[in-house]
Amino acid sequence: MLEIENLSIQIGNFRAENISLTVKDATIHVILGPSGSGKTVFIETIAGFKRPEKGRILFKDVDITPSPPELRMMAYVPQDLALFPHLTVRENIYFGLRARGITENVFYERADSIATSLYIKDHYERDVTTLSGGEKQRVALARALATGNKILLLDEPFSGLHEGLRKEFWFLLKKIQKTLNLTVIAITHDLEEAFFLGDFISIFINGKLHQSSSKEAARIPKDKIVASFYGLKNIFRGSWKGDNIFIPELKLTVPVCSSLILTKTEKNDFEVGIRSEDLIIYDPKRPDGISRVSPEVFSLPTLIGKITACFEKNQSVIMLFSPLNSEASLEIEIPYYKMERLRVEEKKNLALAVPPERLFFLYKNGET
Amino acid sequence: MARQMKGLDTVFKRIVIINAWGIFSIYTVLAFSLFYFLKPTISFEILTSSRTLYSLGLSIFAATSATLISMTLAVPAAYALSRYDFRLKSLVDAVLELPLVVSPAALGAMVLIFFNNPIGSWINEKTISFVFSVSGIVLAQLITTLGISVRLMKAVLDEVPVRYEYVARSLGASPAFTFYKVVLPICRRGILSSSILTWAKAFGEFGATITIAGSIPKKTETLPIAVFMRLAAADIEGAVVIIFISLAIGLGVLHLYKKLYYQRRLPDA
Repeated sequence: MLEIENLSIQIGNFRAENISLTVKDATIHVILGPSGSGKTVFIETIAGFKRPEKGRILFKDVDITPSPPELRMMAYVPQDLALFPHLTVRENIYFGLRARGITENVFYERADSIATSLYIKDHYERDVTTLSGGEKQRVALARALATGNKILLLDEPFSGLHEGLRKEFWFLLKKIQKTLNLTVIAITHDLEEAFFLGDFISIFINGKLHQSSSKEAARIPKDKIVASFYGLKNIFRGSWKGDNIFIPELKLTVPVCSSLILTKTEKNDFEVGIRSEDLIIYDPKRPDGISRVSPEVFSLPTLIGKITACFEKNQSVIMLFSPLNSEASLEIEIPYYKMERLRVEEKKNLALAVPPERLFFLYKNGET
Repeated sequence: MARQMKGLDTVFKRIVIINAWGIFSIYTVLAFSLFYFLKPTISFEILTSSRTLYSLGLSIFAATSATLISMTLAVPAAYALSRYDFRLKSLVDAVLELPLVVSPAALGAMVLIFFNNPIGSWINEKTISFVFSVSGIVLAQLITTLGISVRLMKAVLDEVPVRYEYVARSLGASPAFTFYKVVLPICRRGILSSSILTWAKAFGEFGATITIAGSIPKKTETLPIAVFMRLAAADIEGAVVIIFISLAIGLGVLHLYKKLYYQRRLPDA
C-alpha cells in the first residue's frame, strides 16, 4: 500500500497543499484533473523527482520521502514516453537491468517474456525512432515493467494515440495490471479514460485534491468545482419541504430516498444535481410503446416539457429540455438509438422522470 | 486589400533579403581584396616555409588542447546550470559572460597579473610555465573560450528533456550512470558542434594569447599572431597568405558546425 500523508509541494508558482491519498495494492488509481492542475508535479513528487515541501510518502509503512528515485522501485512512463533515442528497442528494455548491474539471465528472460507478451520482441534490433506510435507505447511499457517494479506511474501515456489505439491500450493496461498484480497510478485529464481504467479515482484541480474514492462513488461530484470539471449542467438550488426536497426552479418535489439520507444536509438552502444520463425521458402518450420505459418510471417525480435543442455526439445525443411554465433548462443525454425511438418533434410534450436516488448534494469547496 | 497585403509582403521580403546580401557582400569584398596582394610565387614559398607551418601546427595543437580542456570542464558545469538550482547560481551564470564583455587583451592581462602574484609565480615556476610558452597559449585560449563553451553546452542540454533522466532514474540508474549513459549520448551531436565552435574561437584567438605568451617566432607565434607580426613588418603578401589559410580552416570548420547543428534536433522517440 502506498500512502501519501499531508503532502505539500511548491514548484515555482505552483502550490499543492496537504494532499493525503491511499493507493491500495494491485489496483489502478487514477489521478483525474484538467490540464495545468498539477497532476504531473504530483506524480513526479511520488516518483522522487521533486522534493515535497512537507508531508510523507509511505510504501509498505516505510517512509520513502527522502529516497532517491532509483531506490523507490517505481517505474515511470511519461507522456512523451522518453524512449532513449540512441538505443535500440532491446537496449531500451534492458536499460533498467543494466543500470542495476543485473547479470543473471533469468531477469533478462523475464524482460524478453514481457516484450513477447507486448508483441515487440520481433522489433528488438530496431532503432526506436523508426517505431510507430503504438509500438513506442509498447516498448515504453515493456521497459517500465522489465525491471520487475510493482508500482507503475503513468503520466498521460496514451494521450498521443488516436482514439482506436488508445482504447486498445486501455484494455492492454487492464490485462497487464491483473496479470502482473501491479499497483498503477495513472494521471489523465480524460474522464472516459479515468473511469475505464480506474478502480479508484482522485480528482485533482489547481493543486487541490477535491475527492478520492472508488470509481462508483467518483461519479458523484462532491463540490461545484468537480461538477464543473465533469461538465455537469443540471444543478439547482433546493430546500427542505418536510422530508422532501423542493427544487423551486423546476417546481419539482422529490422524495428523499435512502441513498440521499446518507448525505442529507442540515441546511435549508443547498444545491442538488443530477447527471444528464440519469434522467429518463419518454413520450407520455406512448410510454410503453416507442419509449420502452419500465413501469416503475411512471411513479417517479416527473416534469412535462419540450425539447428545445438537440446535439448529436458519436454514440449519444445531448438534448436540452425545458419544463412547462419554467425558465429552467435541463441537459439530457441518451443513447443514439433511443433518440430514434423517441421521435422528438417540435411542440411535442415529453415527460422527464427524475430518479430520486440519482440526485446528489453539492457542497461548497472545502465542505463535507 | 489582399493584393495590397501581398505587395507589402513582397516588399518586406525583398528588403530583408537585400540586407542579407549586403552583409555577405561586405565580407566578400574584404576577402576578394586580398587577391590584390596575392603573388603566387611568393605565396607558395610563404605557405611552405617552416615558420608558417610551425604557426599552423601550433595553432591547431593549441586550439585542440584548449578545446579538449574547455569542453571537459564545460559539460558538467553546463549540466549543473541547466538542471540544478544552487546557491549564487545567477552570479556563476553572470561570470561566465566575462569573455563576452571583457576584451581578450584584458583577460590575458588578468592572467599575466595573476602570474605575478605570489601564488601565480609559484605555479609558473614550480609547476607548468605559462608565461611566454605554448602552455600559455593553451591557457589564454582556454580562458577566452571556457565561458562560451559553457553557454553553448547549456543551450544543448536545455534542449534535452529532463524526462529522459527521470525515466532512467526510475529504472534504477544512479545520477552518474544517467549522465554518462543517457544525457551525454543523447546530446553527442550538440557536444561535437559546441566543440567545433569552441575550437574555431580558440583557433582565431589573438588578444589574450599575445598578452600571455608573446609573439616569439617558431615558439609562440600562432596564425593570428603571425598575421599581426607580418603586418607590423610591412610584409603584406605574407599576411595575406596566412589570412587565406585562416579563412580556409575557419570556413571549413564552420561548414562542419552547421552540418552538425542542423542534424542536432532530437529525434521523435
